[in-house]
Amino acid sequence: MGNFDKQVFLNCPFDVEYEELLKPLFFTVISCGFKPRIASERLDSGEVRLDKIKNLILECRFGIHDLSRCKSKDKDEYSRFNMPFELAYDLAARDFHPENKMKRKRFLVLEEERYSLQKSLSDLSFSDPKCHEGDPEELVHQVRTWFYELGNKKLKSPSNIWDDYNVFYSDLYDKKFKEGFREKDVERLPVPEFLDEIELWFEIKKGTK
Amino acid sequence: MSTSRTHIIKRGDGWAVKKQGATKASRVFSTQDAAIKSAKNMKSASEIVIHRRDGSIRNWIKEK
Repeated sequence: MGNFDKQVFLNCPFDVEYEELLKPLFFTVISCGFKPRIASERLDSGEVRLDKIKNLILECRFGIHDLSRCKSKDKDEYSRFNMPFELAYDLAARDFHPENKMKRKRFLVLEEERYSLQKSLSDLSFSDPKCHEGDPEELVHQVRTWFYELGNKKLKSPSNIWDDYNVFYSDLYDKKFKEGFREKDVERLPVPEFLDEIELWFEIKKGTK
Repeated sequence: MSTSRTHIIKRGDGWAVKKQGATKASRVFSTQDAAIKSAKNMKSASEIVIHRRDGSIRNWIKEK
């Protein structure tokens, strides 16, 4: 179950296009001393998705909700409602759950285009959404700044975290190639394995492994 | 973790040349090609890792 005050629920898309943002997002959360939690962290087809989401929300004090990919892009393509739905679920846990610790929940809402949420979800105008412009480096900056504003003062600079992520990626390639992986295998690592590799990288860096 | 690597990393609108383990980039260029060219001229760069804008690996030059 883990430590409620150290866990971050990541509510974002799981498609290939979003991976360029999701991977640095994982890295930044871990670099800031927190544990990312995501619905795809366990690959159990027998688990009902909404139950999984519900449990994650109850286990995480923090929530990062990226609503940047809710808009349909092509004609006849449906909008994606999962992310705003899960954000509402998380807000409801803070406001209506009887346990006192739920009142401590904090949220970061992300959008890709500035003011897009004012147009599509004006109820959220209180939340001061941050804009990453679809840029992984900017996402690192926004997420790290949010953690700092929450009172975590001993964080690396956004540029250092971004550079570390790039170095991590080269170390990952090196390590995985030695283990017999090919480039396409490394690019398609399952989420739990990618998260394990980030945690291991930090442990090696700190000298605890 | 190798320290002989030099990385070409996206930095804002440009591309930074940064030796692994250094706290700051050696230089930032407006294009990735210019950054690669500069890294190739560095005597200490025995391996050059060229990243994509998302941090993944575009190319890895092992020997100069």
